Amino acid sequence: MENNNHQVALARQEDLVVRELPEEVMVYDLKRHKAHCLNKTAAFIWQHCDGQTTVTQMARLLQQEVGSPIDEEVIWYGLDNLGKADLLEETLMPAAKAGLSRRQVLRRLGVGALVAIPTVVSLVAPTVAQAVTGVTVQFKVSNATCDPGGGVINPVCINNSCCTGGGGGYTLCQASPPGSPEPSECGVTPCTFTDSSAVCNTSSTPGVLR
Amino acid sequence: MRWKYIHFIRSPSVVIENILGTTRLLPHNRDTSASLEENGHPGWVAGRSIVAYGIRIGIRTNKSAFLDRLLALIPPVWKSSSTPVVERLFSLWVGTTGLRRNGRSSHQLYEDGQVVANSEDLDWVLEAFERQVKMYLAEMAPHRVFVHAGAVGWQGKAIIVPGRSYSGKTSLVAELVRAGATYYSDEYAVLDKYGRVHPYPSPLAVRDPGSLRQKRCPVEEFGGNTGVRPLPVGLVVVSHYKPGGRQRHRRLSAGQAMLELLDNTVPARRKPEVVMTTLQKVVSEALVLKGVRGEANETARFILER
Repeated sequence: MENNNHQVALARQEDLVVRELPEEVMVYDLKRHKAHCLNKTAAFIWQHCDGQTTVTQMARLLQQEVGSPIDEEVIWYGLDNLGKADLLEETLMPAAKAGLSRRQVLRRLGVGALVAIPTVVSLVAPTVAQAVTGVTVQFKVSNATCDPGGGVINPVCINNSCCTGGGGGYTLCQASPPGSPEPSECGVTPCTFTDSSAVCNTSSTPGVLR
Repeated sequence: MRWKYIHFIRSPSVVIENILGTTRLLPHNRDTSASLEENGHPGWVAGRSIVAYGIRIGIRTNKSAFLDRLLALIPPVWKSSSTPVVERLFSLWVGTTGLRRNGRSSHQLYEDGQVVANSEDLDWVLEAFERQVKMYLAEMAPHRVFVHAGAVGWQGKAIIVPGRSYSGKTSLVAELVRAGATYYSDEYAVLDKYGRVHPYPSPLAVRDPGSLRQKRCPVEEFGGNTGVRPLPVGLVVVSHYKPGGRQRHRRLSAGQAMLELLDNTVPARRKPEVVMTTLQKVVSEALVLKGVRGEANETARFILER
């Protein structure tokens, strides 16, 4: 049986902005416009993904760092999270180690290991239109349903106005400044919802959401 | 620079505004001349170049009576510029009543050469102007990071309340001001490279319950004053309003706090390195709380007691 713990991983270096905080590391992915907050353990693992340090060695180093026993499952869990956040050059996750949930890892390690669980919290950086107060829509939108799972942080859905944000159950329907990464659909076509139950009202009266 | 002046004067596309016997070149950007025929509209008659937050923008209109109205909608800290070449040009075309068969007329707002608003409702077009100008400045300001947040000053430190639309920022800022805090903004926390908050003293945009429309109320109506000097951030409160809820907040780690602020940062994608450095400075000095809040007056008391 192959011993996966001799495998090594390599941290991504390019197109990242990294800021070290007292207990965490913040990473901004310039390609995907995502920000990641790595807790101390995740940051430790990521910083040791040098293409040479094996999972076994990482576990031993982390054990020295925190002063308590560290199971290699913790390292695998951290590598899985870092891989999902696109912070590794290559994901070397064996099938048996991939997709472990935090709960599964805790169950295997015991609650006492909580402090050592590597965590990566991610956020998609907002576009300008998402971050500002006012959003102009060329067409009023009726019966729209915001999809809280669609990446909308603070979904607001008011009848006869428009949801802000994008993803999930609807597409953008808001003015974007020239040069913005989001396409401006205003004045071209009414918004189109991927959710067929939603209706776009093509009234010529524009809607305003602040 | 005399040759440039001559070039403008000789160019057939240049418009010269004549105000009280003095002449002034109407603003235009490098790519688009101030052509009379540009956008299909002859007769841009009034305009102004201004500088705000290090960005030079131009404003022009076909009705000189509207120029002051447009200038009143621009974010509060600006000054006139004598240079006609601007980085972004906003043009308001006010339609004339009776041109259409139904007696109504259409008004257009252009941002450089593109139509960004077109409506028979002039108020709506003016709102669009205000919004587009704010959005442009908030994204492009070279030396500032705009975070969508309310901001007040209290005991030499700034308190900022980041949040998206409808999160109740203005209500909370109004209550904080009523309780004695100094007003900085109900819309943006404008941060410099040291992480200090600068005033962005627009009148508070108060919304009537159940309405999308806002009315502008000067801070004096709330018994407050506007701050004048930049303040370091002492407290950040990320909270969600829950009717009848009681204050429940927990302290965020520096990293979690940076994510919360980043989520409300306008130029997050345009200049992430600057944004990350600035936000890092903020969270390294400030207490950051997140949680549920109840009514604005109770929350204001809770915040000021921290």
